[in-house]
Amino acid sequence: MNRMPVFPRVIASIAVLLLVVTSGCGGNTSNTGTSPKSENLGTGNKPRRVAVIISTLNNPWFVVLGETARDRAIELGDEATLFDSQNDTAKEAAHFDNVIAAGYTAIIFNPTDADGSIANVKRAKEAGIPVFCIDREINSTDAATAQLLSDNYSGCVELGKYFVESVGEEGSYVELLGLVGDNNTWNRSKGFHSVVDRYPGLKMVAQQSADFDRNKAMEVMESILQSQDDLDAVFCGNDAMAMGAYQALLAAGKADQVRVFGYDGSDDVVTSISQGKIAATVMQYPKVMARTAAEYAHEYLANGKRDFEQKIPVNVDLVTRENIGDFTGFGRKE
Amino acid sequence: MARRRLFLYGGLLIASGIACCFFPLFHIRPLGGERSATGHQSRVADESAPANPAEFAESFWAGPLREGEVATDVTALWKAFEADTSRARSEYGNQAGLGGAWYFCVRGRGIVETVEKNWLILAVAGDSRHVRLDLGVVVDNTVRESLGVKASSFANSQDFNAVSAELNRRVEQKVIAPNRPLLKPGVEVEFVGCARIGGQSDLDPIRLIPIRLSVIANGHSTGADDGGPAP
Repeated sequence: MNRMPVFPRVIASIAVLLLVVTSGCGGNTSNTGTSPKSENLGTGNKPRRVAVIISTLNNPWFVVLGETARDRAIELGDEATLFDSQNDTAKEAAHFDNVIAAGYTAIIFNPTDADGSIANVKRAKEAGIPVFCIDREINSTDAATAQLLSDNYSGCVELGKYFVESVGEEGSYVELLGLVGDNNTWNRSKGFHSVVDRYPGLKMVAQQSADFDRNKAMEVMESILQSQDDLDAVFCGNDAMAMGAYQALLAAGKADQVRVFGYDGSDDVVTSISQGKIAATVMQYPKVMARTAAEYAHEYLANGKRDFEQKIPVNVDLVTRENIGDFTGFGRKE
Repeated sequence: MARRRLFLYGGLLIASGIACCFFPLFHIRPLGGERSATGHQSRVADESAPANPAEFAESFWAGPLREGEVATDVTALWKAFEADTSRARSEYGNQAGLGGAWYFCVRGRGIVETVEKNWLILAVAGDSRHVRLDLGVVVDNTVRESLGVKASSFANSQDFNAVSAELNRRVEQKVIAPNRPLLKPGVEVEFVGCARIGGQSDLDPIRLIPIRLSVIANGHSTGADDGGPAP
């Protein structure tokens, strides 16, 4: 067996050691030191590369959001790549590192955490890369270039009014919350409670988080049903949880007795409303948000537009059995 | 032979090094570095944002609302919509974000025709159309949007929404509640109110959430809200 001579082996070992130790140290400093890319954008010589970083692709709603943004960017002649943060702030940070290092020129971003994601956006900004947040906000007005956010509070005010109309002014209900670190969770909850709490006869007997996750919602609902057998309604912070709660109610034989309310306007819930399984949802428009963000990024890169409104609420609509004919999954019928 | 191997391994190492520069295997960061960066960002954002929703609402309540400059005469608004809907919207209204409804701040004077539990109907002099003033619970963003409060002024949308809740609370407690016992058929009132106008059907009656309200007695306003008579 041929063996490497001793001297080259020592050199190689030292070099590998140095490489491993030093390669990870550049994270913040190299990004901070990168020259702003915007200097080259006006010339049109630099390829326009858009990174679409989405909090999770384990939920059909976010898949529509991410794929629409990517596809619209490509339609506009930009390169575009989709990244999945898997609801993990560490993965999200790694995506930003890679995107900055790989020379992307704009980021369309669906954050995992309203506070925890600010540092990532700030690093991209320091590297001269504009960031357009969609659907979920970051708690800052000076890091992102613009933020396109569903008007969740208004949507849940309307949902709350419909909830009172259909359930009545007396009854017991459960609330399933989304991720507790996400502003959307609380804007939806507060909008809903701004109406429902005006009716003392409506009692919330349980309020638990199910992290916007269908399976978790089913487990939480199964657990609640063991101690609450006289429920009238369940308000869920998104449609995935609404479907999970409905499955639990169906298994317990209570699907006809308990009204389920969701939020998002996903395909399966729109179908379920038409079948009378789910009472109502609020239609967000992920395609509108995603397309607009891709168009903003293109305007920034190709035409030099800079005067974006920082936070842009996006209209939402209540969807019930009465107006279900106007809607399809993730939007209005065209 | 040994030299060739040395160049081979050296070349591989250099290539690996370049790859590691672009795709680092890991990052070394100070403990809590991200947290502190986040904290700094939040603090900066907080500094640029309104101090708190209640104070922000108070500044609006005591400023533009008291002066009445934000409102358009109701008959002028009706005429503007008759002439050109798009122009009426852009000239007198505020749109809430992307694809959102249009909101208007409206003032006028009218005679109470009917009073129900949660609203009343006003006849407006010189016009056959009517105004509906809401007198029940106030829960949505109509007041905030009509006044033109911008989401971009707030780092956290929860604070932006809290402004709505605070404005609505003031409307209920300081405008509707004190005037409610005075509002009977035949009474003349001056009003400033907020409207969400989606289409033509929202114009007659035009549905307003009153943000200032006063009863006219012997030609004089006797406003029961803390902002005094409507302009």
